[in-house]
Amino acid sequence: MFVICDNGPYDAVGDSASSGRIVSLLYQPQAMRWRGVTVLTNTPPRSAQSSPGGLQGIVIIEPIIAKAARKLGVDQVAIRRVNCPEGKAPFGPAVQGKRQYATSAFLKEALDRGAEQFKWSERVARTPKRIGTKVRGVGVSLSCYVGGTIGFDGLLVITPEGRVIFQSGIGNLGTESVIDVHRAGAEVLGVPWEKCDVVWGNTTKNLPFTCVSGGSQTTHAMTRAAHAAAMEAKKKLQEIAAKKLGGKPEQYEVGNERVFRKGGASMTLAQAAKYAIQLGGIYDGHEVPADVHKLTKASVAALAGQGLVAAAKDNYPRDGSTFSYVASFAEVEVDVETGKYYIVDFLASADVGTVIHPRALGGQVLGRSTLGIGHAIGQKWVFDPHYGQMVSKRFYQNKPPTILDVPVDMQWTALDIPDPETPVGARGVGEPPVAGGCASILNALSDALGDEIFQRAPVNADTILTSLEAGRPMQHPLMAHI
Amino acid sequence: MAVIRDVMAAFELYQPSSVADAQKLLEQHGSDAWVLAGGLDSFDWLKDRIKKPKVVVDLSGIEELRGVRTTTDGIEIGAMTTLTEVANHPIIKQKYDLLAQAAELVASPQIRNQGTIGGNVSQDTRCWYYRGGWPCYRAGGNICYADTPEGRNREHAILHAERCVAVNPSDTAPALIALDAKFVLRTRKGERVVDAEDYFIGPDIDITRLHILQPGDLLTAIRIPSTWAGAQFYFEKIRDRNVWDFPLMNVASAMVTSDDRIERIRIAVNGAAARPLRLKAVEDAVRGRPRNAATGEMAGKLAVQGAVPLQFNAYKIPLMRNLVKRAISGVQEATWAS
Amino acid sequence: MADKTDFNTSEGVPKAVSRRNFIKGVITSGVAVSSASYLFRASTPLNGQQSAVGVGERLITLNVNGQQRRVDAMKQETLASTLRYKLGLTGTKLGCDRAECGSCTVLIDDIPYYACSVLTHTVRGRKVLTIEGLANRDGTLHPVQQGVIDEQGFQCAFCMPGFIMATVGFLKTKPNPTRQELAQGISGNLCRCQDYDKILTSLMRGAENLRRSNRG
Ligand SMILES: Cc1cc2nc3c(=O)[nH]c(=O)nc-3n(C[C@H](O)[C@H](O)[C@H](O)COP(=O)(O)OP(=O)(O)OC[C@H]3O[C@@H](n4cnc5c(N)ncnc54)[C@H](O)[C@@H]3O)c2cc1C
Ligand code: FES
Ligand code: FES
Repeated sequence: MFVICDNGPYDAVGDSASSGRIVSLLYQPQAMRWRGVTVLTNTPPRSAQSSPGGLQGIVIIEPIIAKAARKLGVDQVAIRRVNCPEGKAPFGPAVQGKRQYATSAFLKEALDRGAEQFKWSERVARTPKRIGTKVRGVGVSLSCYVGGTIGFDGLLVITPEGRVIFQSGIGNLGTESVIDVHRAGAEVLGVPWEKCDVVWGNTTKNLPFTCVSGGSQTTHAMTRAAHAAAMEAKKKLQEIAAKKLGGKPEQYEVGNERVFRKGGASMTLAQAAKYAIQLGGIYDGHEVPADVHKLTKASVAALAGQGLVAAAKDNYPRDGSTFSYVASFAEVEVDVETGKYYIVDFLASADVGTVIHPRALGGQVLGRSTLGIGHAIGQKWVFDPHYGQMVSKRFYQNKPPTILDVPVDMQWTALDIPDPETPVGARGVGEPPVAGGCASILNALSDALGDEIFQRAPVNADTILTSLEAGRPMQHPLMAHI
Repeated sequence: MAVIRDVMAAFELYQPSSVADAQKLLEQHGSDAWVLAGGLDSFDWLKDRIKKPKVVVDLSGIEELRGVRTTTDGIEIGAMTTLTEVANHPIIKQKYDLLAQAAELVASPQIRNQGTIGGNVSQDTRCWYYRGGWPCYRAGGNICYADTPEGRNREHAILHAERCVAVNPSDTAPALIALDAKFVLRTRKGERVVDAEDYFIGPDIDITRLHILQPGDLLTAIRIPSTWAGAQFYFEKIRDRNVWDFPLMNVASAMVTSDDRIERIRIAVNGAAARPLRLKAVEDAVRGRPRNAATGEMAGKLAVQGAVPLQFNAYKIPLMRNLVKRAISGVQEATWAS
Repeated sequence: MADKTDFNTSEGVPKAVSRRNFIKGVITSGVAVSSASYLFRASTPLNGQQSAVGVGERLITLNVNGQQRRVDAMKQETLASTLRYKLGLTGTKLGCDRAECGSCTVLIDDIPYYACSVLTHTVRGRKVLTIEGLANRDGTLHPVQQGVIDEQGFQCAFCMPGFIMATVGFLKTKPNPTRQELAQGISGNLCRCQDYDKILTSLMRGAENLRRSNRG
């Protein structure tokens, strides 16, 4: 794999390297050579977009796999099924003889689920493929991208009124994670969600050290941190109960808004919070665990004395690197006289670990698939190569997809199989679906039109028509944007 | 501090309530004045400060320019009638549906609610060099940036290019030509009525304009004669995205057949040249022939005779050939049991 | 807030100057004009103002969300600018400022328009409705807004006010649309977070809420 990266007048960004790593993970090649170079061009500087490198790498490889399957007479889902990662799948180059590996991968299951819901075999078998000037084609694509980091802090307060207040440092992109990751904490403490509050918004609100909202890491990183803080609170509740009611901390359980000994003494969380204030020290935030970040320490200091204050760093072990995976399916209808095509149906089947918030997850899976679809159907920058100036400055020229460019009913599904290397089981999502959105469309187009017509994205009416007319690719693949 | 982006350069705004008053104003201010209808073509120019008129004459208060009226021979559409009104008007839908179909495919719902039929046929080209303020022929310079060895010209002309390779972007123009519409102008010398196809001009006549209006002239109405009322119509627009995008190419035809023989026909395309093209040679060639695939094929081939592609727009030749073919012999509906 | 000029409270008008004098003052200071007949709009009485509005006058009254609002607007100013930066109605978003995204959509006399591409002076005498004007005075949300909340229709929601206004406008012409029809109706609005499917579901729910509530 030879990657040439053009990001304007400055030197390399990480995209080309990540393209190699992602491809090696997603298709598990037995041997792979990768080279990446950056060329400097007389064009305005650019920076990364969703799934940087992963998108480009997958979109290079997917059409090749599709072509190979057709030449071999193997079903498109089947060929991906035998090549896709499973479990602790290795990726990237060997360093000192050892390769890195993923925490888990259930992409086979995602493919199977997707193929079934999309009625893949029925669509493949349907005849005729062509009626008049219209041809139908179906495509499937694998997709993945990084899905989580570790090591951030969680922070919560149990108030003397018995409410649990989660301090959330997540930047709100509208994906709901600013709130929903804390359900992991509420579950640990056995507190109904209605009795919880989430404080968020800006750093004056005494928030913990948190990952940036990017790189699809938030759900993974911050469910872990929320879980850690809740476990810390639980430990403190048990200790307080043992101090006040006798016995050993381990004999106490936490649930139903109480700390209790099976069949014995108990107290409410509200009472425990009052005791925490009386006890002070580590219980109400006057002392802070040594390993949390200094930003968290400052927040804890500001909250001290308001109740039971629990701060903790995510120190959970993780064996492997976290990725999320998607299998994407599309059907297109192409008019061979005009080159115009429509997306008839689309489905994305996601392996993102435990599902925390289904509707928000669906928003990410389909929303980012649509970004990828945009890369397939027309989104582009156009530079005049002589003057180095961008000419496609307006939306009607650079073409972000509209509501009429996607099917009115799009579908998604998620496996809900927990990732074994994180306590809540949830991995991140956002970038993982992008490449699948793009490549499933490209593969559906080549199913309809043949493999020799074009190798590029975006594919527009002009791409299809010139190539059909000439019977060979007419738009240079490296001159993607014209 | 609030940042107000893209503020247009200051101008004086006049809002006359009659055509006569508008004309007086335009006469008074000559080339300093800009006529504003819906403004959807105009505001880009003004916001980018590529055009800086001192005076803007807003026609939106002139009632006599609005609405659809029936006449003794057909209908008259006021220039300020919006594209939504055109697309939804019961008489237009019933008798001149070709125009309703074309209007419905323009831009987006909000643009159709505001953009006018007069503005749609009078809009400027969307060549991205010219609209980006590059000093090309059309802008008074001495080069066409789109027609250089590396120029990006996917959306440009294949026919009748003359120094400039820009195309006319209007969707309603070819429909109006196919319906044999007449454009009613108010000039200094009085009223003038021209055939739709004569309203549009190429760079060979004037490289700076797409239509015949001189400063001070107004387009007041578009008349559609009953000649083609209820004929067989075909309109197709090929664009990239299904909203907003200008036509890569479109085609409009009106046809009357008897015993499946083409008796009368008018056909026009846009997006191929600097003006919408009435395909007279095609009309002559197919008249009297059966309406079938062979006639369509022949028409398509004839339509693209003399077409010269640029580096990135060769697709427009098969596209125009096939669209003309379909406008004559139709296209098969395809439905799959899903 | 020094940049905000809100004449709603009439404090911006120099008290000592009568209206007539004010107009005259503007005219003689050479801003414009020749004949008064250009100053009239034929059919629409301007919010009950008896006198003509001078061509040179920038101080106008707009009907926004049912309120009469005095505002000093430049002739070249767009409605989106006036709403956001003069009247403080920042619910109307500016995405592209070029009629290409729909985030500035407002209703003018019940019809959806791109406020970035309408001159403020051309809406005198017409009713402007922005997202801020949708909810009832008691705070009850408009049924379409409620549908969006029920279905969590949007992600970052920058595009949301525009989508909601486009929907409210479209439903006035077609109260009971199919999914396909509503998608057509709101197709002049772009979302970059791009789960159009969920957006459409939430707006369909809004349409249903609206039919149930019998609200116009
Ligand atoms: C994002 C975008 C996408 C678009 N997509 C399409 C598309 O797909 N298809 C399409 O056809 N159009 C498209 N358009 C163009 C738009 O539809 C037309 O610009 C609109 O119909 C123009 O009408 P208007 O009244 O707004 O024009 P204005 O901007 O007011 O006028 C356009 C020009 O015509 C002149 N003019 C207008 N009326 C008169 C008159 N009565 N007498 C003399 N001169 C006059 C004006 O001076 C100006 O130069 C698009 C525009 C935008 C911004
Ligand atoms: S801001 Fe008005 S349409 Fe984009
Ligand atoms: S929800 Fe973010 S742009 Fe629409």
